Amino acid sequence: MRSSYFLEANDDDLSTGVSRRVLRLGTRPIGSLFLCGHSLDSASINAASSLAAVAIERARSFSAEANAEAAKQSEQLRSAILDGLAHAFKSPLTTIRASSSGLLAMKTLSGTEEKLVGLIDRHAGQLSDLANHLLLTAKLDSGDLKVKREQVDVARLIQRTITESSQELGGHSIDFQVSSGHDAVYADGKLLQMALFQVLDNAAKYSRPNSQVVIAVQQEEAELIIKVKNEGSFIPDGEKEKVFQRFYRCSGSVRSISGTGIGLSVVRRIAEAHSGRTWVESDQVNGTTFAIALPRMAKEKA
Amino acid sequence: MSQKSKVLVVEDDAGIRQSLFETLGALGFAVGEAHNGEDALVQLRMVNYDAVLLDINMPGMGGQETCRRMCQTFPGLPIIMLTVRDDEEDIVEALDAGAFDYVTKPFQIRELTARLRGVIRRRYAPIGEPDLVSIVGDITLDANRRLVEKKGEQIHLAPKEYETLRCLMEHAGRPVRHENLLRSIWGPLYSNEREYLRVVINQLRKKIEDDPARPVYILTESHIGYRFREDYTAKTR
Repeated sequence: MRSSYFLEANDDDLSTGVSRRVLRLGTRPIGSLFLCGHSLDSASINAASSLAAVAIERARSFSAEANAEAAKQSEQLRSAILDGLAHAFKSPLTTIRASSSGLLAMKTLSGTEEKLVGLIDRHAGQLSDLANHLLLTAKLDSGDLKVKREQVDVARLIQRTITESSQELGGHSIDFQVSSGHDAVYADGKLLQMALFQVLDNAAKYSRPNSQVVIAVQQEEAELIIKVKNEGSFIPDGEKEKVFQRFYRCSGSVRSISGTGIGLSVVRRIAEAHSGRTWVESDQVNGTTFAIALPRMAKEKA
Repeated sequence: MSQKSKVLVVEDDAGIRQSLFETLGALGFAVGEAHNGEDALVQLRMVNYDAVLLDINMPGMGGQETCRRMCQTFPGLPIIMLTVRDDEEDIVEALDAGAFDYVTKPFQIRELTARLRGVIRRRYAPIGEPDLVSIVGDITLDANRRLVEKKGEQIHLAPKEYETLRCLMEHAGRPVRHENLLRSIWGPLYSNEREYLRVVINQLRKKIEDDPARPVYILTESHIGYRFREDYTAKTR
C-alpha cells in the first residue's frame, strides 16, 4: 500500500479482486487507496479514489485554516491585551506625575520630602516609558503597522537621533563616521529613528561607563548597513538570536541592568517591516556590534 | 498678574482632573472642572475662562469636536490639548481645528504651567500693529528692514531662511506644523516637501544657534513641526 504511494503505481488484479490507486490532488499524490475482494470495474475505482482524495484534502485544509486562524487570533488577543494594559497605565501615571511634579513645583517640601517625591516622580516617568514601549510593540505585532515610506537621509537621521537621545547616552561619547556618497533609503523615518534610538540606548546601557559608542554606515551592493558598536557587553553565540526575542534578557544582565527585553525585538520588527535584517556580532575583545541592514532598492519593491 | 488666571480642565478621568485641580490651584490658578466636552461648553458660557486644558480622548463629543466648537463659539480662547504620545495625527488635527498648543501625558506640571502662562499672556498682549521687531533671547528680527541680528551682529540669511525664521518667531512659543510652514513659504503645492524645510532649518540653526546640534531657539516638535522658543522674560507684563 505504501509502495503504491511512493511509486505512484495504479494497478488492478481482477483475479484476486485487489486494486491499488494513488490518490491525487491535481498531479500531487496525497495518499493511496487499497481495495481487496471487490468486483468493481476500473472506472468506478477511479471515481471512488477521486472522491476520497477530495475528502482528505478538504479535511486537511480545514484544519490548517483553523490553526492559522487560531494563531492569528491569539496573536491579536495578545496585542490587544498589551495595548489595553499600556493605555490603562497612562491615566493613573498621568495623575501620579501631575501630583508628584506639582508637589515639587510648589517648593514647600523639606529636604527629605523633596527627595522622596523626586523618586516618585522619576520612577513614574520610567513606568510611562515602559508603557510607551508596550504600546509600540503591540502596534508592531498587530500587523496593522503602517510603514510610511519616504526618502530618508540616514546620516542626518542618525545625527538627529544622537542629539535627541543625549540624555540616555549619559557619559558615553559618540563617534559617528559619516561615509561619503548617498546614504538615502526609502523608509519610514519615524520607525527607523525608533529602531536607532533603541540600539543607541542599548549600547549606552550595556557598555562600560563612559566608554565610546561607534556608529558607522556602510554601503553594500544591495543594502545599507547601520552598525552601532560598543565596548564590552559580550553576548555568547547561543544568545545572539535570542536577544531579538521579545522579553528575552541576557543571562548576565537580568539582575545587573534594568530593562524590559523589548527594545531589540522592536528593532527587529522595524527592520523586517522594511524587508531588512538585524544581527549582532560580539566577542570578548572587540566588544559588541548591532547591525541593521536595509535594502537600498526598497523603493521599487514597495 | 493681580488676579488669578482662570483655567478650565476638561478631562474624563477623575484622577487626572483632581490632581490638576489641586496642583494648578496651589500654583496660583483658579481652576474649573468639566468631565466632558458638553459640560465644558456649558461652563464656558457661565464663566469667563482665560484658557482651557482639553483632553483629546473623551467619551461623548470627544476632544476634537469639542475643540472645534470652542473655537467657533469662543474665538481667541486659548486651548491646550492633553494628548498621549502615539497620536500625532490627532494632535495635527487638533492644531488645525484651532488648538493653540498641546502637552503629552504624563507631563511635568512645570511644563504645563509654562505653556498655560504663555498662551494666557499672549492672549492679553496689547494688540495693534503686529510686532515688527521681535526679540527672543539674543535674536532680534526686524521685519521693517528685513534684518536679523544675534547679540547685535547682523546675520545674513537667504530669503527662504528669513521667511521661515519670521514665521516661527511670529508664533514664538507655539508649535508650527511642517505643512503650514511649507505652504506659507514655498506655496500650496509644496506642503509635503519636508526635506526642503529640513535643509532650511539646518541652515538657520547653523547661523543662529550657539550649538546647532543642541538648539535652544528652533526646537523640533517630533512629527509635528517646529517651535521657536518663547522668551519668558518678554516685554509685556
